[in-house]
Amino acid sequence: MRNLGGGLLGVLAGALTQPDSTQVQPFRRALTCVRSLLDFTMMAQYRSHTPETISYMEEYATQFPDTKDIFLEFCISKRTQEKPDELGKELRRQRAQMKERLPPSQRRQIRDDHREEVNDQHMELIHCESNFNFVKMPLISHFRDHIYIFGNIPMYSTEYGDLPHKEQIKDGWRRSNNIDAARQILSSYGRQHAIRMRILNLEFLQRAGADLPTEVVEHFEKTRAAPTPPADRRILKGCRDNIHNVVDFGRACDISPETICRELIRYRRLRLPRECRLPENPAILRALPVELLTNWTSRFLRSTSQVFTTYTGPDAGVLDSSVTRPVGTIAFGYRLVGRICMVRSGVVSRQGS
Amino acid sequence: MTIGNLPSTIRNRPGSMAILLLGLLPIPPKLANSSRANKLQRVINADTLRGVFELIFVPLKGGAREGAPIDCADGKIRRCFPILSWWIADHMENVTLHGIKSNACPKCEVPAEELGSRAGHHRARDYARYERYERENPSLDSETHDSAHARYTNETHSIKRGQNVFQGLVTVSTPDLHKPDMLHTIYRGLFKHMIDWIQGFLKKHARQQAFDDG
Repeated sequence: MRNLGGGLLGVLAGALTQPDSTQVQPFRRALTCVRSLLDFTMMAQYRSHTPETISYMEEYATQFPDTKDIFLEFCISKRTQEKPDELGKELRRQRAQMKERLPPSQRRQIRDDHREEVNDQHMELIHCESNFNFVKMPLISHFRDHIYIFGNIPMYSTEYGDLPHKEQIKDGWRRSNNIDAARQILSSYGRQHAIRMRILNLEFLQRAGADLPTEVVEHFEKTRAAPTPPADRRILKGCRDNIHNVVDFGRACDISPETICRELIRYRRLRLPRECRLPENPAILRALPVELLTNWTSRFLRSTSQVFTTYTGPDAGVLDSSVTRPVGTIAFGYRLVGRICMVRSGVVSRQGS
Repeated sequence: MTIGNLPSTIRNRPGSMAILLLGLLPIPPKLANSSRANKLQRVINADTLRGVFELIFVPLKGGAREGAPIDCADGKIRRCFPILSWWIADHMENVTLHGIKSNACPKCEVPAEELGSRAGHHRARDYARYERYERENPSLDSETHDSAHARYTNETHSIKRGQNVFQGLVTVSTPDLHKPDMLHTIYRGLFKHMIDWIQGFLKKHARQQAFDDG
């Protein structure tokens, strides 16, 4: 997003080459407007400022509102958009009444006249109703004073502040069992935070050459990789083609087909009603196309919370055992989307390991 | 929560754990959907928010005047004066926290009709003045009392009375808590509008194909 500006202006300038005589003025104005906003954002990203850069910024910030009128007719609110429709309806009704009494040639002429009239009215309405009165406009005028008092702008970015939405809240929610979630979210993040702070402290001590006990160093080496998310999670996201049966599915999510079959059979015995016929022979089960399995496997995947453990990474034993990590959302076959959760580590081993 | 004397390169790095989660703001359970219930709901929400913030700001109130002993990284204990200096939030969060209307600027008193014109010549907001005004005119609190003063405070300045959660904090300049926000103001705000305008402009002048090819 930060680098969008440069690309956008170049492409726009390329698209607006060779204007007609009537287009020269609007094109120039539009380009000036876009350029002033883009220049402003580029300048606002600077990490340090001089009076000169601030004066440039101020110039762009005033140039942008001055030239933005060229886009006025495209800045239409929903409320304004509805009005011309109503007007048009009214005119059409009038026209229909008149048409009945006239010969065809006159009707056509009247129709053309009406169309022009509607267009004119539409443009007029848009010009007097549209405005740039939204709240983000005046906010950019405060950037200059802010730099004078507090320093550069990226320092106060919400980008990092919004990241915890995902890291602290959403991931915390996914790890919780959704009962009294707020408490679990807070404690889950607290735990993670404590571990990471500990790692940072140890790292600092190690770099400073402090004499650490050997078991601490060993443990530290093991946990160092902990904050990086496991690779499985990224591989498994999104839909997959070429998944025809359980074996393919197992290969895609790195679980041995025997395990899947065993768990499916167990699930069928425990949970499924009697009329749901499912072969208990693993050999048949393996070859069944996934479309046939769709109905009951989706329920299976949704209800299961104790079956699949695919994560046996370096921090599996180190992190608290109550940290449950959604390994990924897997498109099972073509339609079925289920979630596989990790709860008990070490119950099911990976294929090949 | 974070502290102001970290270099911004460190503070804005996710791995450095420079921001602490202090609390999650609660959303009270919803009442049935009717206009009276909505009014009540709004009052309940505002009161809850105020209550939570009073709880959060209790340690700051004593510390800002007398200072508080705080352990530092080098093993020494220093006397620190914790002062709330920023609140990094997007516009809607600012609207809730400052108790202003959603089409008002949290920094200056620009009227809603002039948002699009060249701003920058309006008086800066002074929340303490609003509060003082409210205190001096206690009769404004009654809902039926629709005096000229009430209209003055509410409409001219687009504020909701008594809903600024930062009121009553010592040594805090409330309008300065608001910080410019590149992500929401420009990247997701003005850029998004501008792309829409450019699309319309290109369609009008039949240059869309050239733009897409570029």
